[in-house]
Amino acid sequence: MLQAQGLTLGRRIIGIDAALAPGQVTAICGPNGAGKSTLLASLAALLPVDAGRALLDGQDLARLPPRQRAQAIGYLPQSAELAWDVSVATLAGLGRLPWSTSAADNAAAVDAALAALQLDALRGRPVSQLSGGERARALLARVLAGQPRWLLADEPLANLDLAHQLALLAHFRRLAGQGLGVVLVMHDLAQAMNHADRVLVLREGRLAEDGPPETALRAEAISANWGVAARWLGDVGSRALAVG
Amino acid sequence: MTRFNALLLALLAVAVPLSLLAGRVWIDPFDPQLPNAAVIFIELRLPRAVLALVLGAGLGTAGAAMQGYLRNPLADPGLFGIAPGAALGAVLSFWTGWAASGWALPLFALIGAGGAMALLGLIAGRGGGVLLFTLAGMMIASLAGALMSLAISLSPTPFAMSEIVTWLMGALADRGWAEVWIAAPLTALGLAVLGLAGRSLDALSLGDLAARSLGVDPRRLQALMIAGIGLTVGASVAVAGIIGFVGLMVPHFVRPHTDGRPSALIVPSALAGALLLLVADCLCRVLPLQGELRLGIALSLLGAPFFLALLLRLKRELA
Repeated sequence: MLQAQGLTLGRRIIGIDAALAPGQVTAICGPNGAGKSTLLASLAALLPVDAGRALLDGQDLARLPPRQRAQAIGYLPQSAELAWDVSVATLAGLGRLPWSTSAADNAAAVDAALAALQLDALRGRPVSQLSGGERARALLARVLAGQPRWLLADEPLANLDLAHQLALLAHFRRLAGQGLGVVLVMHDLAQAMNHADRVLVLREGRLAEDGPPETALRAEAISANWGVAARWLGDVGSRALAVG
Repeated sequence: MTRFNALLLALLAVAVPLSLLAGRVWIDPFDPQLPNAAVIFIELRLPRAVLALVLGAGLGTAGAAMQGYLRNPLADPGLFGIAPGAALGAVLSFWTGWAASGWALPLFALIGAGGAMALLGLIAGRGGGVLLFTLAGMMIASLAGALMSLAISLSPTPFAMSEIVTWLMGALADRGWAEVWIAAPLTALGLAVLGLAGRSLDALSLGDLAARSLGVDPRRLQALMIAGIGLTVGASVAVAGIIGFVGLMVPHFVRPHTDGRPSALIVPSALAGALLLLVADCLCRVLPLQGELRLGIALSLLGAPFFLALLLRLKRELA
């Protein structure tokens, strides 16, 4: 269980309480500046909060040794920053940094991560020569190679075309099926509606909605939090958002 | 050991004996009649070669670590202000006249390096942010440079001024075992500290937040960088003056032969730095000039066009 207890950081997030269950895909949504990325990084105890705490299975994450915390929680930042042009396999290998395991164990974890994301054939290719979709998968492979129990990803679908978005969402669903806790910051409300088990909606740093997508992203909630009149079309699982 | 490291070791195995023979007076190993050959060999050439290896290894590794820490291929250990801090200490030893007593010059330089390290830690604070750290380093470098200029302009005698200016150019000429005993342990300690930072530097390739998520403690990393760069660069300036560009050039030669991780650059950068400084110092000795070319000047002459070529390549890549 990953819990936020009164997480507060300046005016960016204020008194956030939530308890997230493993084996689910949780989406964090909200307008620009609502505090989504701050909440995600605070849930991973990567930012020094003013008040409150993040708990993993009852343990205060900020008090855990950094490497122990890193072994449990994989974090994929919004920026696809990579200072040096390394190969896909080397990039994935960075995910093993929190572990002091043997080279064989590390190689096996990297191989498994690359296989899960269909990157075997690209393992030797420099990251600079990848397409946007391949690069996004390679960055995710880095997190998966760390074999975390929780995966926290900040806008992993940004800058991807629809096919790559759907492929990545299928990966997240598969990971949740394997028991991982998956938490995603998402801008696309239709993707959140169709692919998340639970949605947290933030507005001006506060938790405005928390529940299954059908509830948290109902038309009134979208109107109240985004200021946009919208209605859902289609059936559950393949909803589309009509605006206006 | 990688094939590239083995190649560098093999080149060193060839370069070291050659450097012992090379100089104004060439030693012929097959002519035992050369007068004073043993003295030239043991008291002049050998300590100078060892010093070139030690300082080159330190400066090369410091450069690789620095580029990894700042995530910038144009970064140089001089950016942290530690080299100018050490140089300021050395200048003050000339200024006060204490430099005449053997140990005072390196001691003053090490105090200068230590002062710059402490100031850097104090200004950069507890946050561990790279930007503030870099700006603090640039400020210290600028302050130390201004104070050096002040000390030179207020030199008590023209002789002291000439001594300061000559020393600042950086050289291994006339260095002996005393300098080796000062620089070797400090550099070895610095290399060990920078080696400890390797994994954290790898994680930093992904950005600050990702590095934290991989278990990197930014304050610990910052402390390792201050200590590692301070010891290697401080030791180098303390015994040889300012020798620039090694830390900038060496990681560039080395990077294409590694998998690109900053930690993978540390050992080959030490070996390549040692090789570069040894060969450059030999060339300084044997070039047919009226006096011996200062090593610091030679490397700057080599380094400036290299830096320009690097800038042009980056410009092309960004275009």
